[in-house]
Amino acid sequence: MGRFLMGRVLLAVPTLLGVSLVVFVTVKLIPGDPVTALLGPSASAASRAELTARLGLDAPLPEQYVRWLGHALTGDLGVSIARQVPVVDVLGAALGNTVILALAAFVPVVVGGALLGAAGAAFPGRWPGRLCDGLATLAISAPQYAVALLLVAFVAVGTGALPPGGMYDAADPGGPGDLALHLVLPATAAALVPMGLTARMFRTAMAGLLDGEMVEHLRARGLPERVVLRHAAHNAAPALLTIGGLQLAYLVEGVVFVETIFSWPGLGQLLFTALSQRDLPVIQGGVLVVAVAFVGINLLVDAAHGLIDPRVRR
Amino acid sequence: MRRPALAVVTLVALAALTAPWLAPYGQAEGVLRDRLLPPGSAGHLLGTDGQGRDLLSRLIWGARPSLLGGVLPVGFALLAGTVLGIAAGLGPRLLENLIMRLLDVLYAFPAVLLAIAIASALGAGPAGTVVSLSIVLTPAVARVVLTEVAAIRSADFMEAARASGARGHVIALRQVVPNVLPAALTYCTALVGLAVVYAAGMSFLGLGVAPPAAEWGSMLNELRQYAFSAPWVAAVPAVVVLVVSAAFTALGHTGGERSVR
Repeated sequence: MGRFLMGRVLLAVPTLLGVSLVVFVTVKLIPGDPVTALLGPSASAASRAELTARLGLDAPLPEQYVRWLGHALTGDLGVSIARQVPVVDVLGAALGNTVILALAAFVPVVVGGALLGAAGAAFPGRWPGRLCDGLATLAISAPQYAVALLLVAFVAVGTGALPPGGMYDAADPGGPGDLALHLVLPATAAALVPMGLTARMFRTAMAGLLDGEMVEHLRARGLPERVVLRHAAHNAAPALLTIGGLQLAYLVEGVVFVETIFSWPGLGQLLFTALSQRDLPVIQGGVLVVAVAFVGINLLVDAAHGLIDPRVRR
Repeated sequence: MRRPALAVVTLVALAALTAPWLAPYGQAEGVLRDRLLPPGSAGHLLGTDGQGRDLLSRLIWGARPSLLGGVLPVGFALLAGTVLGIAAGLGPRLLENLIMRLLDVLYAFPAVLLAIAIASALGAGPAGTVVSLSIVLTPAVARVVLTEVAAIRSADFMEAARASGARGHVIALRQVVPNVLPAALTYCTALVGLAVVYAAGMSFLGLGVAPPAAEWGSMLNELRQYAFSAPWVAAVPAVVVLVVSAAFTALGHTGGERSVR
């Protein structure tokens, strides 16, 4: 087990190096000069040169990359050009808000996905199964931005029962209860696609079990169908862990749209603002943090899967 | 599920092809006096937007860039992925490792985030969106192709071709391509729906087609501000994207294929 884990971790290192290189090169390609953005077009040549040197933009590209990577490894991602505060601080606050949103969305992803998938597998070809399969397909193909917009238009504005955006009520910020109210709609919009994917994959896992010898044996012993289903679900549960873990990554992807529409002060919204401000250090740091988190989640899911199912450790 | 889905996709494709004849109004043609009419108004079946432009017409005109925004990247990804997959499968071990490592790095990013980063690096506009989505979709296609190449690498007909003295590129074109293309095409067909959704999402964020040209994603973004005053109008393009996306998914229908990863 130790060797399996070490191998996985070592494999992630070159991937992470490649990720950092891609981030660095991509951001360098972004048109627009940060020095001009900061000083304005009418700045003197001397002040331009001084700022260029201070930002380290006069060094050759490989040197800039190595310096940036070295700083990044020690937790220093530079200073936000637009806000003049350390990028780590900006990212930290936003990341926390995104994690709150992602965790809130994770609950319907796992619970809803498991229920839809199990029902689809338990009643294949009959109406409850087909209904659940249809719902899963619909959820998979529900683009976050379209769902978010419909939720704002019809649920938030239409009924007035839930807030259309933000994290807390500005006039009357009310702690966890207020936060929960503000979470309902964005979490729903972010959860649909991963929930549908979870349902589909869990359905496959359950269907495989229900066709297998174990279930045949249980049925031959005359156990009621309800008990058979419970046994099958028990055996399919580890698969749910892997599937759900992978969906956590999909959640991060959807929050860019969801946060923009619901004005949720998280990473997605931060990145979008940074893009329009040409705030290179924030873009670089933000994309890097998300990609590293992504690799980390995959690593954890792999390790957890290896712990539960020895067949995976080869 | 498949028949209504096919009908929706066919209808949208037809709308894209015949927009100039089918659309009742031009895509930028608006009467300010008739702004924000609700769906079902006389002369405007789906209502009008904030500039009094007919929504149905803009949706029909918008079908063209919206579909192309999904189909073109998938086409490019099919081309690049097939070349990379075959090169990795037939080339020396070192080349295979190099290509697979590169693809692993691209896999390590959330697809939308990578597409946004690349598109903003290339500058806003339809070309940047198409290029960035092509890059994001290529690794998945290359993997499918590589799996297929690995399956036939040591088949008898490959041995025969090599023994007959055929050169590498001839074997790749004559023996390998016809054998891997069906799987790659099936996979790419399933990808189109996802790519259409991604492309509209990029335009929604202001990275794709720019106004006043009609495109579903940029329409969503423009109408977003009316969610409070005219929710029905704001909902129209959202519902269209939802229905078209569901139709593509129902057609693709093959489980994990939805995933780019």
